[in-house]
Amino acid sequence: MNRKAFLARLEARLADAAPPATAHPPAPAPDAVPRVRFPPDERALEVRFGEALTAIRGRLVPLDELLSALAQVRTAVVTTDALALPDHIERLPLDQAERADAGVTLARAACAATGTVLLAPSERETRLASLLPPLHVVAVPRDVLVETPGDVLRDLPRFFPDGLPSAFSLASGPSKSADIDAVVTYGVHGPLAVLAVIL
Amino acid sequence: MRVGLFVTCLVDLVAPEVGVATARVLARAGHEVVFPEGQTCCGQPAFNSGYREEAATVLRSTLRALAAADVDAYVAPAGSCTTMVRTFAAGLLDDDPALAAVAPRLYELSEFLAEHGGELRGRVRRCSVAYHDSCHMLRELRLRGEPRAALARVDGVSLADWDEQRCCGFGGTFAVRSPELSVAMADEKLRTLGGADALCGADPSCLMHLRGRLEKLGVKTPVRHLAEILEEGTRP
Amino acid sequence: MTDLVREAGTRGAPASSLRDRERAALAGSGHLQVAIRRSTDNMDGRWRGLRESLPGAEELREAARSLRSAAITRLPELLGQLADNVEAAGGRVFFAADADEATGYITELAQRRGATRAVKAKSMVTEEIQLNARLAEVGVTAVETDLGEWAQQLDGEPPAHILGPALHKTQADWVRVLRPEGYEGGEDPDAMCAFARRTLRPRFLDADLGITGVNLAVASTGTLVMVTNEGNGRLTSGAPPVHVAVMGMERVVADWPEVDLLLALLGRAGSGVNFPTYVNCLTGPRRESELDGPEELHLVIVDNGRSKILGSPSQEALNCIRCGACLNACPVFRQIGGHAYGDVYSGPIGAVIVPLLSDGNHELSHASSLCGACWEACPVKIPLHELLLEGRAQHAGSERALWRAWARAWSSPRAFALTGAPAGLRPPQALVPPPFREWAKGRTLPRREGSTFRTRWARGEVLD
Repeated sequence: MNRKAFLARLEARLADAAPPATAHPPAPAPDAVPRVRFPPDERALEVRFGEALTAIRGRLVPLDELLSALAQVRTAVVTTDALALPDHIERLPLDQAERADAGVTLARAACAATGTVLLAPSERETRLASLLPPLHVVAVPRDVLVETPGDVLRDLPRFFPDGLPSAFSLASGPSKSADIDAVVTYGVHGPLAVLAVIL
Repeated sequence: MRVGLFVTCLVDLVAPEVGVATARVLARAGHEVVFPEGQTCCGQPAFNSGYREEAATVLRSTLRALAAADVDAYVAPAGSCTTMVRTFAAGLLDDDPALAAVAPRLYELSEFLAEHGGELRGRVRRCSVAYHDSCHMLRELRLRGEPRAALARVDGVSLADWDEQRCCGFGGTFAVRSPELSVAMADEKLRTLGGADALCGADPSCLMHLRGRLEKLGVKTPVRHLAEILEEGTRP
Repeated sequence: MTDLVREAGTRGAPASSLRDRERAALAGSGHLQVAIRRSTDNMDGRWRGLRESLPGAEELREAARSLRSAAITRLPELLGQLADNVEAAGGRVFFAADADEATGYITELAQRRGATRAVKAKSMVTEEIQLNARLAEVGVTAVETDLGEWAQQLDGEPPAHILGPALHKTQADWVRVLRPEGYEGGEDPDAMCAFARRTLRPRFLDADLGITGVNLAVASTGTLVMVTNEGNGRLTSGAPPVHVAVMGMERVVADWPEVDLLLALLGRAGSGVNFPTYVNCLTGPRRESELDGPEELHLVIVDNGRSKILGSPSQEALNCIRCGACLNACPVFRQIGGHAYGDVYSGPIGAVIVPLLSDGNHELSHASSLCGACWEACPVKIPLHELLLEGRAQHAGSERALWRAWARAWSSPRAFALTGAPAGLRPPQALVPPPFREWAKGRTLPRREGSTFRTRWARGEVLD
């Protein structure tokens, strides 16, 4: 069906709409979409970000502990210079993320309430670097910390001043599934572990 | 107050003791109780089966009978029938004067007692009661505290811990269209009954279903309408 | 594969009656019920807990309801805007009136690309249009990558739940299903998960086509938002050279603030988390400056019966965000499971939309005790119990004569009084609506002690 006919059919249905089958009709839509709030918390954004990330099985690692945290990592795809990696880690070409032990990327934003990071491809950053390797190491510049995912979703031009990239992701902790008998398992497709470092 | 009883079809035909208990409890709370003649049923069996015209026919005749009575309020010992009149009837009857006269003044029993129960108090032998939240009463009328508050008027009654909010599987004609499923739902709920001394509810239809299942299973736990416990506890 | 399960994967009128399917589901060993209770109680409990901890949860749900309703009434405008913006970003948009048009477009695309291998991220609308079967006809093997959906595909079963497609499977079932794929471990979810990663990873990297659903589509920017917890949505849309996104036409929202609100509710109601693990937002295919991503992005917007719901008294069913919370709360679903509904959509929302979408399986609106637990659980507060009633009314007819007779009798106080059986006897069957003998199989029939209430009142026996 072409677009015009498709939409015309919808117009016709709406023009002749029946009253809703409910004794509880919805209120008119509010002028502004209400914000999703979290219980108030006075602590610093980075403290809360670390706590939220831990709650979803990620880890916030102090910069000076990065070396020991990455002791097992031998290879990595790295899309950012923001983080100085230990010398023992071999840097693989970006198209070899599938072979790498870790993917090291930069967060465009990070949400304190949920432990979420905003990831997006660029001239340097691939979609798959944060997804294919078993470990995702994400560098979070202090000045991109915000309160909630809503602070990102409602303010996208701040994070993407040149317009939206073809893909961006809000990622909260490692890949997880509860499909097997309601038992939570990690890493079925994406990273098994997520390490964040605040810079 | 002068209170008109809407006893409902099921109470009238199958469980008149619930109607008797309701009338006595209301009288003991200081109200003048009348029984508007000509009432039958709220129409819900047909409504829930999808037969709206037929439901409206029966509902209209009951509303007319109720509206003809000179009363301050109406009370029904059934959350579901109260919901039918208060919530769903407007979608069946357009601008019906009898509906307008009855609906705003119709209360479910425990709801009425919460506002107009006065000092009604009583006592029974120590008895743990598993209170069943019937679905319309809980989710449409939002009466959760009221029936419990009514039971709290009777010393000796304590609330038993069980799966109180899950549907019992009655569901009107659902209980006969899907009898095996309806019974399986009752069984899941009844399995949590534990050592309660009585099962209590405020909807005679759910109670008929649950009592029927318990009897079939040979379980002796008595099934009592809220009004019956109140009546027993407040006997002069 | 049982008949119950076979029918669940088809559309239209199942061969067996609803009651037969209910009986079949209840007649099993009880494993089905145990597994469903475990999963649904877990998910329902988490959502209840989150409703309590989310400040202003009720107001947010009310607002979400109003906003979804408003978006649906603007559907032609929003879909037009969405299509313009997807195209401006370099994507292609196809409007599919029905399943044939949607699958036809995708199979032609596959043939043009010479595709033989596809990966899919779980999508109910592609189940609805039976895309996998159509792809197979043109030589494309589509592999489901959502862990539960993969198990269902390997087992030859349709999904049993909107969000937990394999929630009825025990760990032993999983081992049985994975064994032929080369799994050598035991009943160990972590080992099975690792096996799935090893097995499915090459499928993503070798695939010619990636096929996903769409959770929300943002009209203002032409962005497709998809939510997964496993990451298979990001892989499916990001790794293959062609990405096909299939969306039910109702999934469009005007702008990003609604995305914030709806994702907060979807994550909590569907997965019991404050925010979904991966929210993937796609605006067109890969740009020239970008290093990876698909060369082509195709958005297929599917009507397939939805326009019959639009403008109908049941229009609010289009507000659904497919979280599965109504299934988890439903006392019927937990007894009979998803397959007994005889369609890919199950639970209360399935019982509402299947008869509307497919113009068949009308009986489904009776697969409910109308308890309203679905309404209470729905994050966008769809009055599902009332829409089920509407469905029953739409297809009333076969019992008309019976109910008419009943209405005649019960609108007459005199005839009503005659319905009362003599004391101590069971009520006569003639005037009691439908077959009460079915009642008696599992329950004793009610038995009145003494006279009817009205008789006692007339005799002055009621008051102290």
